[in-house]
Amino acid sequence: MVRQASKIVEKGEMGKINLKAKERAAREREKQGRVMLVSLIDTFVILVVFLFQNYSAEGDIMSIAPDLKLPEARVDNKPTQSVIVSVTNKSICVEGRRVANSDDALKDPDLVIDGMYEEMVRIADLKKAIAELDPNKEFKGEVIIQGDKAITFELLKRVMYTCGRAEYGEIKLAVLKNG
Amino acid sequence: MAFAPKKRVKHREVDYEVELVPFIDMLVVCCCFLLMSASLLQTAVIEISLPSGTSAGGGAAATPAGSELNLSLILTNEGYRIGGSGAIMPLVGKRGGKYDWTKLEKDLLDIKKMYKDQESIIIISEPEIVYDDIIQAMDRCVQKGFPDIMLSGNIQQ
Repeated sequence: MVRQASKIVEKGEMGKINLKAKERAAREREKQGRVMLVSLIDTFVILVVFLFQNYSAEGDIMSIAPDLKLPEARVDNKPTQSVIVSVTNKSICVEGRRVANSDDALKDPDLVIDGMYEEMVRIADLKKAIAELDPNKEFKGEVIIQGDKAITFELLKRVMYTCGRAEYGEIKLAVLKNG
Repeated sequence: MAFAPKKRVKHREVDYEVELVPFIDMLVVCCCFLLMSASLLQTAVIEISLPSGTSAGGGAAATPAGSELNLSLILTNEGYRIGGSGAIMPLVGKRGGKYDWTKLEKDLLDIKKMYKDQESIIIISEPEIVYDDIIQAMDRCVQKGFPDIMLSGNIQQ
């Protein structure tokens, strides 16, 4: 009986020791498993600062068609609200509306691209009508040409000539800012 | 019976951690908003003047008002030339199918040093020249102090 009793006491002691060891291990695990929130916050703050630097409150004035690759340049002139003409080797679009085929425009003996001219005159008339109602919105004849890298000067010349004929004298060429 | 001296009241140490989770939430929301509204492709514009009215058909290149030098940059399939006031510099040929932009920058810088008031330049191009090359030439002109660019399609020899 005495022997049995001493065995139980021994077991009890061992159990206590085991419990302490388990607690210690759990505490250690708790210490090790902690997520480093401070470094995570540092990363986020750096990201937010970087994004704020690139943030433009005005938003995008121009949207670039996916099949159009603009040339790159180091100039820093920001685009303003203007009529946008996008020119690729396939088509010519005015304000996103396809108005002419580039091949047809190049073959035409006349330098004016008819479809484009009609659309630009229509927009110019609209803008002039608005300008009559609201003197702050004066028609300045501004146009931004988004030309694909691969187009030739011949096509660009025809587009510019058509712009000029449609009373758009202030021509700007869109580029991607590089550096 | 003596009273025990009053035990000094120990201030409990404040074991309080700043709640970082809401702060992280705010940063995540901020990041998402900025990423959605970010314009990763930054666009710019180069202002140019129109070719003269008949240039497309074969008229003379326009001369900017007040420009005595009449500086022009002629882009051809073989290379480029710089001309001014009746004189034309020798042709600078292409290297590996590309224009020698470094040489052009150097030439433009030299001209700018000699004619500090000169701000206009006429870029004259052959019809087959690719738009990218014209823009590269324009970019160099703007960078080297000739922001008043005119485009013309007539090559005057």
